[in-house]
Amino acid sequence: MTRVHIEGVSKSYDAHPVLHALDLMVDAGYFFTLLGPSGCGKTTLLRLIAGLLDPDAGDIRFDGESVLSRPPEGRNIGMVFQQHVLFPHMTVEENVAFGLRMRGTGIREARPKVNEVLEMVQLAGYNRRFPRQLSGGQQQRVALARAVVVDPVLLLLDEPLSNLDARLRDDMRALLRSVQRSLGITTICVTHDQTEAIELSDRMAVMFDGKIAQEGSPAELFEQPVSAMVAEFLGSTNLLPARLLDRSHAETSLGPVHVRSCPDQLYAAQEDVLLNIRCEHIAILPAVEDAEAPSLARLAGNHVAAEVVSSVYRGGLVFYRMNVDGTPLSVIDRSDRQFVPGARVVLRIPPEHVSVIRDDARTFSS
Amino acid sequence: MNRRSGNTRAILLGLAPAVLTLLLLFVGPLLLALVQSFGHAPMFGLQEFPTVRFYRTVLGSRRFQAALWYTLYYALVPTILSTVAGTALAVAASVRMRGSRFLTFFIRLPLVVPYLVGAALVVALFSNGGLIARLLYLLGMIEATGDFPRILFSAGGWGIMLVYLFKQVPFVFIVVLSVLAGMGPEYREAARTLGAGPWRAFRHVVLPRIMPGIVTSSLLVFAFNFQSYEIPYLLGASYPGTLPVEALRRYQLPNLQRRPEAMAYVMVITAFSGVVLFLYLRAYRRWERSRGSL
Ligand SMILES: Nc1ncnc2c1ncn2[C@@H]1O[C@H](COP(=O)(O)OP(=O)(O)OP(=O)(O)O)[C@@H](O)[C@H]1O
Ligand SMILES: [Mg+2]
Repeated sequence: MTRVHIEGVSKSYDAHPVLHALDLMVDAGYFFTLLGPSGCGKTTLLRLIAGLLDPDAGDIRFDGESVLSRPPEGRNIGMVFQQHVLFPHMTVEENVAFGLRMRGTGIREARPKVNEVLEMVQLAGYNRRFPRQLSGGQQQRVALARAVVVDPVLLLLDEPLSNLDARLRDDMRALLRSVQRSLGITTICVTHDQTEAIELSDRMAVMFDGKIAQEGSPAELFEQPVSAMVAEFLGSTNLLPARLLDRSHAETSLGPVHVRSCPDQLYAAQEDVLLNIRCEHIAILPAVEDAEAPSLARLAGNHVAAEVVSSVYRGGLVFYRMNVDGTPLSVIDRSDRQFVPGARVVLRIPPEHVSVIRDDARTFSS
Repeated sequence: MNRRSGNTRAILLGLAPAVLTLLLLFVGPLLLALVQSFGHAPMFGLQEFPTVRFYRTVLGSRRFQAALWYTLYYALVPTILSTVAGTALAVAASVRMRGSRFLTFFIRLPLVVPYLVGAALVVALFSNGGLIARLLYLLGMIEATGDFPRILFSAGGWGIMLVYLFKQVPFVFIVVLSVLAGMGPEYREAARTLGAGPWRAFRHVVLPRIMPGIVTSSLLVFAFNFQSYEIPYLLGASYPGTLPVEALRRYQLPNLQRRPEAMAYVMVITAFSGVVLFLYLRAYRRWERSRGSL
């Protein structure tokens, strides 16, 4: 198991800068996911770690030892590329055995080990097939087998699930996780799919424009994003402009809202902030018919009256757009009940799920 | 069914003029050469068809055997050299970032120059009174320009091969480079991360992928070298000539009764290069099928 340390790494293509003094630390044995929009430099970072590119500045260390002077073949890395690049002129077995053969093992001595990993990725008996005789999912699994067969110190996965359909993706995700667990390889996985990242990883980082925006456990990033960009990138959320009243209250267009305790620096700065309320954390309560529309001031615990504007059913969930006195809110609810447009409801916004973040002018939209 | 066959007929009718012209231009002369080589040439007062007399004369002669080896030598050596060099340069151009654009530009220039201009260039550079001889003389490396080693018009045929390489290295280069460009760097990189050094990544992964390009371009180069006459005619030794040169010489003999010999040469050239290309392609297809690709 290897700890990977990336220190102040910069990289430009020609004059076009891609990575800017990027720092990242991945602990030994962790499944680490790098999440970021297309073109933010994820593949570039993986290629730097693999030694397929040289950084302009900074250092990359495995267990404290710089690997910059080592060529790719000297780094003992397993890599699964974005476009699965099995060697088309080799059989599955020859593909998987390639790394072993490059380390001086004959094809016959390699066979037991090859069969073992093929079994691990549930492709036992496919030895003789050529890549074009396999489905996309099978090819992806061969690529994984080929990468792990040599016991690499580090596994790099570049969007390993991007070419698969939804069901295969679930299977493959589970497979990736179990393979990684059973081998205990430090793994860096790149994706732009946030659910994938959240499900797979021990730790993750969100990356924008060649910089790490935030790094932490999936729960940390999900619950306490440091910026609007991170919050929006991690899935459907509501960002409400607000003004802090005290550490646990903010004034918004919904009225005063009870929030989770505000981070010290933000409170000290007394800035205008944003409240981050994830769509699935807002609870819908049917409105009491005869009562006057409840207002936040009158109901304790962040209750607010709303009207359903639209609802869309999608995969076991209902996605609502709500109108609260002119302020739009998005809400995701389970589908065993569905409110029709025009219905009046009460929304409950749990204070522990209202995080305060800096208003970073919302330069990013996904 | 009617409509379809009607369509087909219309298409065939539409294509007929072009097809007939092609047949007339390609197959016609070949057939003519064939019957002439077997002794049917009433216009020269020969009417012995069918006879193998001319083949016997041609194939039995020393000259023919020398010409055959000579032709093979001229066809094979530049083909091998330009295939290796063109492929190596293409790989270099595809791998290295800096300088590869220059390489790609300059190396393609000879492609737009006709073979004959290439020949003139080689003469200007490498003949005994040529630029290089004079340069060496000025530098004091040879006593007289006449001491410059005889490259042109010699049986070693370096003059001919220089012209061929001048034209054919770039040809192989662009064909292989385009295959490499279509392939992208990922295969090579995957091999590198799996522990292959640059050379082994090339040999085990890149080379098999670019093989079709290499085979195609070397085939075309070989076929051209085997059958073309102008460069060996201009820059080769007077004896032996290559097969096409010998054919031309027979053709130009004042004695028209010997013209079927020229035609026999032509038929031998056609048959020989046809067989060589067929065997080469078949061997390659077999190898390819064993690799399961394509
Ligand atoms: N070889 C190259 N030459 C020049 N620019 C490049 C090269 N490779 C990538 N880039 C640029 O660098 C930036 C980052 O590319 P990179 O491939 O790292 O993005 P990514 O985060 O992996 O994106 P995606 O999610 O689409 O794969 C992009 O703007 C891209 O256009
Ligand atoms: Mg990428």
